[in-house]
Amino acid sequence: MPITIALAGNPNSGKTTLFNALTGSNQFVGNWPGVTVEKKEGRLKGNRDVIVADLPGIYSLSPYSLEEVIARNYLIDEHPDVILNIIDGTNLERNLFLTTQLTELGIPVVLAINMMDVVKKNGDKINTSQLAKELGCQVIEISALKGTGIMEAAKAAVDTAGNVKTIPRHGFSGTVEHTLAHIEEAALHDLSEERRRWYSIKLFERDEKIIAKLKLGQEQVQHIEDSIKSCETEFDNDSESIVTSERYAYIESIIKGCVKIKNKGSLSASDKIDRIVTNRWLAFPIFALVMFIVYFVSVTTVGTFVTDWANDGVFGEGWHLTGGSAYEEAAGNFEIERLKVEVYLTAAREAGLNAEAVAETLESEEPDEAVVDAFIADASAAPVAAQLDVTDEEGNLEETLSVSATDFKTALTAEEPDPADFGVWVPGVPVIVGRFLEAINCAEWLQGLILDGIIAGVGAVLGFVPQMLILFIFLAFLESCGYMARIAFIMDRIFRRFGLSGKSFIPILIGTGCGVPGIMASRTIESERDRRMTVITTTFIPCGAKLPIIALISGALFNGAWWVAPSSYFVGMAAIVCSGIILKKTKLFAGDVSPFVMELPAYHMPTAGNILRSMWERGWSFIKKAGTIILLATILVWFTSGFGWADGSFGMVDMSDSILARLGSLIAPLFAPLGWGNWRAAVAAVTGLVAKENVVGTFGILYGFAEVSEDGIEVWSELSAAFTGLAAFSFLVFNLLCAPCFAAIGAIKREMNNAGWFFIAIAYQCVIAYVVSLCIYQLGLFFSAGNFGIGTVAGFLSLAGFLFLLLRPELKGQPLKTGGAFGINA
Amino acid sequence: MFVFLAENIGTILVGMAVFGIVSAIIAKMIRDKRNGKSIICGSDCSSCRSNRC
Amino acid sequence: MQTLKTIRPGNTVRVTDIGGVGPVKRRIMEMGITKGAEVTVRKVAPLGDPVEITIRGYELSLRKADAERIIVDNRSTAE
Repeated sequence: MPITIALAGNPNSGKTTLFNALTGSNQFVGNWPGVTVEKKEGRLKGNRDVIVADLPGIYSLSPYSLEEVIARNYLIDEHPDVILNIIDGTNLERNLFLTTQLTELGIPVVLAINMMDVVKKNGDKINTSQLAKELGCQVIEISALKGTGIMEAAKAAVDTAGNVKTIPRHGFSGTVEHTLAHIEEAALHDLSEERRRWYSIKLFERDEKIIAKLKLGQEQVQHIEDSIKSCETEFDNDSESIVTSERYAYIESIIKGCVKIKNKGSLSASDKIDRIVTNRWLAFPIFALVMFIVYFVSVTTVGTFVTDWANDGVFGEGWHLTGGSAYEEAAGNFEIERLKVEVYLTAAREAGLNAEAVAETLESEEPDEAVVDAFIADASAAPVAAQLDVTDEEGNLEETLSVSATDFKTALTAEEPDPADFGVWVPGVPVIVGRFLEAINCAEWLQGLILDGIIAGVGAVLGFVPQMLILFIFLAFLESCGYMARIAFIMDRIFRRFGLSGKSFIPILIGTGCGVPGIMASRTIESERDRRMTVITTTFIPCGAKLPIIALISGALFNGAWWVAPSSYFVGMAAIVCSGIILKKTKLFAGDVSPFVMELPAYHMPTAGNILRSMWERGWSFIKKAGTIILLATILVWFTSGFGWADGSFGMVDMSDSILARLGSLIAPLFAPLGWGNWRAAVAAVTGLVAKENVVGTFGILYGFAEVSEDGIEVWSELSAAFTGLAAFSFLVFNLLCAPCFAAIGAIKREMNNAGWFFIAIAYQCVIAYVVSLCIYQLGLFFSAGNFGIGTVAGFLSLAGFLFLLLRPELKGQPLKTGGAFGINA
Repeated sequence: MFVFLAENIGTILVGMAVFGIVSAIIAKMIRDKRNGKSIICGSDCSSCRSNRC
Repeated sequence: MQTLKTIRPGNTVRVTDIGGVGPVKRRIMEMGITKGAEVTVRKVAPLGDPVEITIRGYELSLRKADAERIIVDNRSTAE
């Protein structure tokens, strides 16, 4: 008979870490029936007969939030064999509040006090045996993070299961107990002994759901109500408050005897940091600065350096492991010789000599020696002399060289240096693969598929891996140190003004990594309306997959301008805040603001190991994605862009006649007002629906990433030729704001649980993306070049409409009803 | 026939390799779909590092 | 009678009562803010709202509107 252990505890108590430690990879994740809260179950490591059910993190078993209702329904209906209650040792009092309720359920309880490592470090002492005696259950010390005590806790739970009954030790005050006895007598004689306690207390608290569940008759309800009322009169307080107060009073009494806190009241390190970071005046600038640095460093500075290596080197011609600078020098010298030749020829023309014949023959494969010698003879006789101004990178004059006929002759013999002759030269992937395919005589079309399709597409995406890794390091640090929770605290006021609470910010922060867990994190928001709004706006913030797009546009189309990458983050934020305002003013979302009662966990310094592991895991997942779904997409794009109908038959055609070009041209006009009405851009944006990285992959194929331009410098030269600056930015913003990838769209669908809402969400995102891009392009054109046309009118109208929706007076919300603030439909 | 094989052996081998990779990818995607994981990134979010705050 | 809303950061006070009824009051109490509990106001967020308080050994952030429901003993206890 399998035993079920229910894992219960406060949010932030380390429950998830414990669950993972107990079950390893033997987890099964689904949904609690009928709702969108995640349900996790798994088998205990080393004991396949034991199932561990992870209940949602809750502070109490009240009927007011979705998570609490789910947890208590599970506990009373499914009746697990034992409850493993995880408690944060640095926060005992509040954690024990839940414990007092769990012990009333009639199910055996085992306590696991977590974070014992922190407790010990603080110098606090917990007398666990005394605690166990007071509470009537076993108490095990654990540290889920460090991995200590976990198996003992599991063993204690298994041993306790079904055997020992936890008798609730704590009693309420006399009058309350009296009333509870009354209630038991009046309504609960049908229940088994151990269940009566919890039910009587719930009835005392007038718990509507329990009243409904027990199907009590009018008379019974009235009788109970009278008892409760008399108790309330005596205490001059409502029943719920009486119960809650007495619980805490009881907890206080236990704590006095079992716990010694060392440094009560002194400022912890966290507090000191918070003094600066959440300071009235500094908090925002610090936040803006932090996010700016994150994006600037990842994409523009360090990022660009490594990406150039990845794009031009690994996926381009090749790169120098050593000897790079020597090659640079030699290449520079060769360039000077070449320029000498040019300059001399020009001087010769100016002097009246006929330079055409020699110029022509020099261009050919085998220059005619006779013609060259004749020219040199004439030039020396004249005499023709030239001057070469050598400039450095910024165009400043370095030196001036004189070029005589002899110099000219010498210059002609200069040979272009072969990079392979200098140090260790690693040829690029396309070069290696290309040579291999040639060597084994692979058919043209297959070579095309591999080089111009797969390597071009996937290579383009993988080229950005270095930048992504740097971004992941930053994000991992910010998340694990606890800074993110502070942001919610700071942002709450703004968010409240605009209709959301600071809690809505957490999904957005998670969304900077991946939108899917961000959308799912909206479940912690109690208000149904606010939850929906958060789901709609979470994906505006750039996720990891959008980073290649940002990096590509900022690098190739804006030459690494410092403002492009951070601007994408701030555009996302602005979109979220503005959407919050606009939506809150519509009938659908208007209403009172949801309450914000949030706990701030302490800061802690993440270990380098943790950060690196996080970076590596995310990075590897990105690479895997590139090698699977993106690879498939590139094959499809290559095929549809290389084949089509020409002259009535099907076969390989010029790109502009391909199937993809034709299809793309159908939808391209839609994007013309946005500045990028060409089929390639339109197609790229559409492939982005499958995975955002595909935008880069598709561009890689359609703009010939694998072919380097003549002077070998710019890899994305064709792309930068196809977009003006304004069009590029408009394209960027569109892709950032429009509907996310299929995975995220699926998450939105699941969370909304309603076709209408799902449609509204996607439609809203696409419309916002279109309108904002339109304004950027059209108004940008108008203000910069003075172009005025129907597009500009559309732009101004959109802007006006946008501002109206943003600034109009708020609709009167509905008054705050009991339970309404938490919007429970369960 | 053997002449055909011999001449095009390169193409055939490479072609089979590509086909094999593509099939493996599609097979994995189908397996992921059955197991309730996302076909796009092959994970079920519970074990994903991005799922933290 | 002072409410928690008016208490300046750095001060520690004792809760004497909690106004209102219903889920929000319940939630506030469940988080540990009960009659007789000691509350220290840590700081106020940049835009004036929410406030961060220390209650029963942990940090909690509360809306000012909610803090207004919490009636406190205005004799500040030394920290």
